[in-house]
Amino acid sequence: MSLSAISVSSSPSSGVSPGEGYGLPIAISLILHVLIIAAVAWGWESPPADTHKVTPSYVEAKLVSMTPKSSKPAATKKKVRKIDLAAKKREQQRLKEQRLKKQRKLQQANAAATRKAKKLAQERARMAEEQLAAEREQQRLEKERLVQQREAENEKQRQQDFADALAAEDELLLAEQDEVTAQSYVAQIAQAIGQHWSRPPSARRGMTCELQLQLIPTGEVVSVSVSKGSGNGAFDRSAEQAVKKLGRFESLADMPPALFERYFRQFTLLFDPQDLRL
Amino acid sequence: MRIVVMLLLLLSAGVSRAELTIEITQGVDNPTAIAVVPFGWRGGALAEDLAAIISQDLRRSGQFSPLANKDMLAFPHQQTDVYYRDWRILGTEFLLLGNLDFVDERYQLTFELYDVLLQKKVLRQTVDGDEAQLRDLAHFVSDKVYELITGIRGAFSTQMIYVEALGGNKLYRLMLADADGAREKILLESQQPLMSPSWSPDGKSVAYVSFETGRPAIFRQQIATAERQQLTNFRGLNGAPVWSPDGNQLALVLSKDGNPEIYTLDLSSGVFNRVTKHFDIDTEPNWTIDGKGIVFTSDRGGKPQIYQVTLASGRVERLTFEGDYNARARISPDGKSLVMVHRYNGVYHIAAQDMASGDIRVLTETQLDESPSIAPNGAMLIYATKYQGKGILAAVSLDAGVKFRLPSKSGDVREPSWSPYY
Repeated sequence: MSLSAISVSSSPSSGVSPGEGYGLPIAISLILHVLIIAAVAWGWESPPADTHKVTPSYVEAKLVSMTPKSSKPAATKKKVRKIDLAAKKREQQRLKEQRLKKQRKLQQANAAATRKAKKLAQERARMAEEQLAAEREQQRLEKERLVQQREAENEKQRQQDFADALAAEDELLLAEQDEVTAQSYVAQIAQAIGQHWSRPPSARRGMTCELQLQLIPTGEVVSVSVSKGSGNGAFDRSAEQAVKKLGRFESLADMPPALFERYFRQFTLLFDPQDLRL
Repeated sequence: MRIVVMLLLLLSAGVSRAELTIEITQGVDNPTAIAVVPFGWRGGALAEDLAAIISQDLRRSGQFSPLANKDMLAFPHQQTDVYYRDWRILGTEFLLLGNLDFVDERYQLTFELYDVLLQKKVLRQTVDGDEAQLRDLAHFVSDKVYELITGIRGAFSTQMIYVEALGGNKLYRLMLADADGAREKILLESQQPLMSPSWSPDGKSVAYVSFETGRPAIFRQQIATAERQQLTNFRGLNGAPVWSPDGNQLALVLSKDGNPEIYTLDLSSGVFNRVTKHFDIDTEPNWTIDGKGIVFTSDRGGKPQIYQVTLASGRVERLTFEGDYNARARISPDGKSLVMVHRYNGVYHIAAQDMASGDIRVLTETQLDESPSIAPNGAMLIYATKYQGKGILAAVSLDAGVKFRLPSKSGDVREPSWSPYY
């Protein structure tokens, strides 16, 4: 690659100005060399070999668009919210302590009042007044406590809701990820069936036939039935035989059980030949 | 936020409930593996090996690869003796069993076809015939099996007519034989050339050109009775007769007006109608499927090419444009393909042209291929070619997937005509 680039760039310059010496061509070739070396040094290498088996490009496209959506925003959102919640919790704790302190203070005040009442009868009126004030204060505090309790309950509810929502979102994202994984299995299944599907000579483009398959987790097909025929018995039979000939989808054996239950316990095969000449 | 989440939940629930559908758009089309087990028979030696004939029929179609007897693990004659697993191990997809009995002086053949993969019987039928019809019984079974598995009607019970030249063109014979080349029968023998045999649509008559009167003349002959009738006796060329689809007319070539032109002959009234009017050669007519038009070869464009004339209007349209030589066209029974002799790199091959798209497929690799004739099911065509310096018949499937030569005859074989269904 680099060799051809050099020869292409140097040949016209030497041809155009044979008498001028080699200053310019050498400069150009030097620049090119530097560029190429730089490119090579900066990791100009072929992309890492794909470890995945052949999967249709649309699957990968979906995967690419999916990953950031599923991991990053969810994680950051969660963190932000969690910090928020912790602060609120601390605030709540602080208020509770305050309240307890106030209650203790109040009890002390009450005790003092009774002592005073016994000691000073003439001060009863003032004391009653004081008690009234204290009672009023107590009522106020009680009200405050109730408000705070309600607030705390509300906060708790909100927290619960949020956790639920997060869980739901996670589940959804997980489901979407499942779907992406399922798609890669779909490609393998389609390929395996295609390799065993021998169409009769009467098969034509436009003929379609649908089969219902039932599998067990080993990937073995336990039942096949034609759910929608093409009208050509030989064509339908060829589709059914393709499944029977394969018998078992090897690739499904190591699939997570949840994914299997969700998508591959029972599914539909649509035979729609696109590669027929007629 | 809550509403959005709820909606998402609902959506995801909807997604997970929909069943997965996987689309299969590609396949590999291999010949069907079938095992034709030698039939049960309690009598003595038979003149024909029915299972072998069926195996050969199916193999020749190119759509089947029959299992050799020596590879079979068992020779079951009834369902209770069938172990699907054994046949499956051998890669067999279908299994054909049969039992032959001799009842009331007739051979009675009961045959059963099993789908090994689906493990079920898909066909059971009984057919009978006399001693001379043993091959017919076998071809009947081949037809039934072929039709069930391929979805195309079988043509193993059909016949063909061809011309055989013996002793360096000293003796000519008009021959009738089964589609597999067996059971040849002489229809006519002549010291003078015989040419261009053509089956009537009812399969009862043949039209051909004979030089026995000293110049070419068109004859019609009843196949069963050998009764003959001379149809033309014009000066110059009288040739290339072909029957109209309804069997009431012949299209033919006459040069009585100066140069070869296409005519039609009404067989009941004996009236001739001139179809083409051109100072260049028009020849080798063949009717379109609906009988409303005739395709023919003409060099009116400078080189031989295929044209089509509409009988009602007389309008002529050129059909072939690929290459500098296209001739002797035949239209496939479905009307979708034109089969013809096509010169390619200076060599004459058989080619098929798609009527709609104009795409050409060269079907044969041999040299000097000529006179293609299509089987009535449109799956195969037979043609004449040269092999080791001798004229022989060969066949090729219309998708060029299978080719074979018919058993070599004593003389030069040429101009085959595949019979219709009758």
